[in-house]
Amino acid sequence: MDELEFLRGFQGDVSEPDEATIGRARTALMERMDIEKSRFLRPGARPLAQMTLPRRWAAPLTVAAVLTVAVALVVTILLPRGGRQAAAAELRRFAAVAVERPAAARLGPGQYYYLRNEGWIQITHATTSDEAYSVRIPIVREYWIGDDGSGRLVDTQAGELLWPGPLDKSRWEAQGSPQLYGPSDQQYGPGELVGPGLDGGALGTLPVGYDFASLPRDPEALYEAISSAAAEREPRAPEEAPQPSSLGTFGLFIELLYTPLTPPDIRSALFEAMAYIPGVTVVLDKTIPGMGTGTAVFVETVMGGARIRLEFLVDPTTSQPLGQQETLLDRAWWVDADPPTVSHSIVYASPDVVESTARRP
Amino acid sequence: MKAMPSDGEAIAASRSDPQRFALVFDRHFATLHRFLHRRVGKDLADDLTAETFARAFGARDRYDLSHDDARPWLLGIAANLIRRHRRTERRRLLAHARMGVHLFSDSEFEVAEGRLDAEAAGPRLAEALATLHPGQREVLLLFAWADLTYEEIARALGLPIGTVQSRLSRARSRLREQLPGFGQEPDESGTRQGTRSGK
Repeated sequence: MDELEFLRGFQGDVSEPDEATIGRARTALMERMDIEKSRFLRPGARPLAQMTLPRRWAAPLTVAAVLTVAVALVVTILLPRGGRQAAAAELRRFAAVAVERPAAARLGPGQYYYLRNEGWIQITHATTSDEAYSVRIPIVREYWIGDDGSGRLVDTQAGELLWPGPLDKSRWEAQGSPQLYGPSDQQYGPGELVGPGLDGGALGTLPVGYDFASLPRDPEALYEAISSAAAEREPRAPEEAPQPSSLGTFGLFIELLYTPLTPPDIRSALFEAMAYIPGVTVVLDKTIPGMGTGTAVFVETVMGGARIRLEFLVDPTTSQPLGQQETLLDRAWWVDADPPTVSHSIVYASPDVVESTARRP
Repeated sequence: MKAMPSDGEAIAASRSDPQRFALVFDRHFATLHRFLHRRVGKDLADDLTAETFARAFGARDRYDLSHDDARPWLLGIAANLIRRHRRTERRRLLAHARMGVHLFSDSEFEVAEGRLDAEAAGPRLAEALATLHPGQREVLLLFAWADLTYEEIARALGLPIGTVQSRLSRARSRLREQLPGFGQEPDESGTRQGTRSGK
């Protein structure tokens, strides 16, 4: 036996970490994942046939001018002033409008749907177990989506980093001012941009390629299907049963309402089904700078001890999604900003059809 | 059937989808915990392992995606955290040296002869580790306890490979000085020389 063999056995009878230890560490890590997930949301698609809906849609954006004042909020009527029924009534009205909205134009040979979002996202990095910094990054995201599941996805930083507070910047500097975001330009071959092929990859995929025919049209059944799919995507320990969250469920609704590929009847049912989300609230005539005025649908949740509101703004006359915004309603340890503070804001541009992935409208 | 993503792929995915990092946690938590447990005891290992993954998650944008295996990176983060607890590690080793506490793995010593040697020499080894230069101890333990290669240790600690090799060589020489008889082949009678008297 040489000294290395001897050393290998020295103090080698340590026990395996127990479940409680692993569970505590996992929970602490997941809280950080949740915090980041809530402010840097990207899509990730799987076929609905597998009952695993795409990751919460949200390529962030808004114009630079909006960045500093995105707090918005001109509220004329708050539903449910008349309670949940009033919110449900407004969503039913949307459902009626949506069913009349024409389906997206069919693609011709070689054509692609082009989607462009712009705004800003907030990303958060934990530096220790109880310290973090957040930064806001103006960004443009563009998608080209072909019928065969091919396409292109481009992310571009559209402005300087924005620091919510001085502490955020000083903590970032103390970490050596690491690069926080890199632009990307990815081409996808047939079938690569859709379905489960990219699951686990660096980039999410678009909510295309769904088996919409498999979705129930009954609003309550549709809500249950989407809620179950959302629960599957919530972070959890392997032995834990899936637990839906209202925020995750709401995120999936937004994904499906955003994509131009969702058929009108599903779009209509989605609006009605949203009324089943616990705590869903509707606000009329809400103006968000850079996004416009519309009807806002939102849910709130508590994360890391702070309330977070996710809002989805819809044109009341056409049911066209206008954008989404997330607001931190309480002071949170991971960002140096007084509440309420907007942690991401995204403006959706209307989809177009282009002749190739090299073309823009 | 789809292959499990490598650590590099999971970390890349986690940059836009944070929960993907859970795969790295599940894959390496026990390894990190065992390594830290051996060095600083269970209670501190509980905290430091959790802290290692929290820091790794926060630093995932800086991970070099050309490396499929994140274990060296994680162990490097753990090594940085241990620096704040060097005195704890040294106290633990010196306590072992003074008290001759039996801390060996049975499976490592199947031959009774070898086991006697190891038990007797344990306190000396603890003392030798405690008095090693911290940089040499770090390299030695990553090599012996974490089974990292020279290249992986260099990556974990941000050192040139030559420095890793020289530190490891010095550390092993130091151990051999402290543990005469180890590193020698059995003589013709099949017995080993030295270290039977223990501390």
